[in-house]
Amino acid sequence: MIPQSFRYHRAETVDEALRLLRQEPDAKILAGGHSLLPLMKLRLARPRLVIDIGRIAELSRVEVSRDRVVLGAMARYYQVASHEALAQVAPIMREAIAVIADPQVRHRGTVGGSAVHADPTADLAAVFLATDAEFVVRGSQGERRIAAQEWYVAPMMAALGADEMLCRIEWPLPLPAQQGYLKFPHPASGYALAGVAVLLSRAADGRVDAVHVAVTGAGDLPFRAESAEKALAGQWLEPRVIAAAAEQGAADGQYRDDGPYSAAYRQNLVRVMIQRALLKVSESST
Amino acid sequence: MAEERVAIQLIVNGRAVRGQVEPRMLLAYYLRDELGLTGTHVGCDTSQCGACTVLLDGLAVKSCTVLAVQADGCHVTTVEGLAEDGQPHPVQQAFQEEHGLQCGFCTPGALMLSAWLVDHHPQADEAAIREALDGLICRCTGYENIVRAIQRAQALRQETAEPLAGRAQGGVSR
Repeated sequence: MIPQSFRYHRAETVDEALRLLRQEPDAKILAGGHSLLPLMKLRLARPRLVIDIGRIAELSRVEVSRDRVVLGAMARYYQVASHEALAQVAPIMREAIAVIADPQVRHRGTVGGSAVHADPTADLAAVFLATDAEFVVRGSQGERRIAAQEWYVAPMMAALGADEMLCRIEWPLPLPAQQGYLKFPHPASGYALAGVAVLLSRAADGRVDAVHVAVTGAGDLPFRAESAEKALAGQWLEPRVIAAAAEQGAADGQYRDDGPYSAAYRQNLVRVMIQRALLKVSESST
Repeated sequence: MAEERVAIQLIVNGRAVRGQVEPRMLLAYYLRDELGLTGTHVGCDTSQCGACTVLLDGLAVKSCTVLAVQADGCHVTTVEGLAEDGQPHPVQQAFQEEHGLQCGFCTPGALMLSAWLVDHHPQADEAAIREALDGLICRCTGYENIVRAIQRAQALRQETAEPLAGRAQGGVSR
């Protein structure tokens, strides 16, 4: 399978990439290429110009400071997963990346590529939502920040202008300390049929102080299960409380019948997975 | 209409190579059709099976999902580059000893993935080896002997103490 012909330009700087993006409306940014190239081989994407950002050093950085994490859009999965300082403050990244595809894909795929591709079954979508990630994009009007909750606007569509590119993903620290990602993979594709990210912190008496629950894979879009979060706030994590929260959280999603998986099945799967993820995270150490 | 061609320069199996390629040419086809290195097999051509795995700057990648222009300035190691001075690479020796192949179609990819694994994760236990093999589909389902071969290669590596994929470390310009 061979992509349709295109012009290729390797950008040396973000500004150069943005200039090319403005000049050629039918252009695509190439990061790791593990979403774009398969689409181009199937000719579902046929850009006239491919702008390679793979050698722009500033886009590959991973920085963990006292109050902030900064992931360059070109940071590759393996690079992010092996970053020790990041694993201290956001262990959920390593846990989620470990279940994305396979080693070869993780050597090429990038966190920014996953975000921009906006596949509603992407594992990192749940993580970005649960961690309240901020997407920093740059365009002709300069930089702007887009909250994760505003990012996933439609299946395969991020809140990114045609003349903009994603430069980095950031989130403020500290995050709730107990974290976990639990995935129910599609048996053939390995993509998430349902994936649940949970971040949790508890007060001294054991009651829930903060809890973030986000779901990918099962619904039309990845989403925050806000009803589950509300049901858990200030509660002790007893099985009865978790079960009720999971049921309410699952109802926050929009589901549709797709292939062998009915909307009802998907919602029930999310309920079970939220329940399991909460149990798993609540039993984990901080 | 003449297609645009882009000049590339890379080091393949230790040898400097220059070429003019269409941007759409995939690394797997560049290696096979332009350089004649047909050891790299194209199985599914959809980034799933791993038969096309090569080392790009020492890391196992699926060459059907990398453009040749993206490999510009990089070191590439294919199955043809594993043996040195006529001596089989420890991974090759281990696959032979443990009979880590049946039909042989996925074997070039299996060898390259194994070379990366043994080099970068020399202590990987059986579970970790099986997890890494997620990136390789053996259509004969001959995984048991592949796992044994990788374990044997780990032992051989301990004996030689030389990095297996060491010749492919570090890019020219990255």
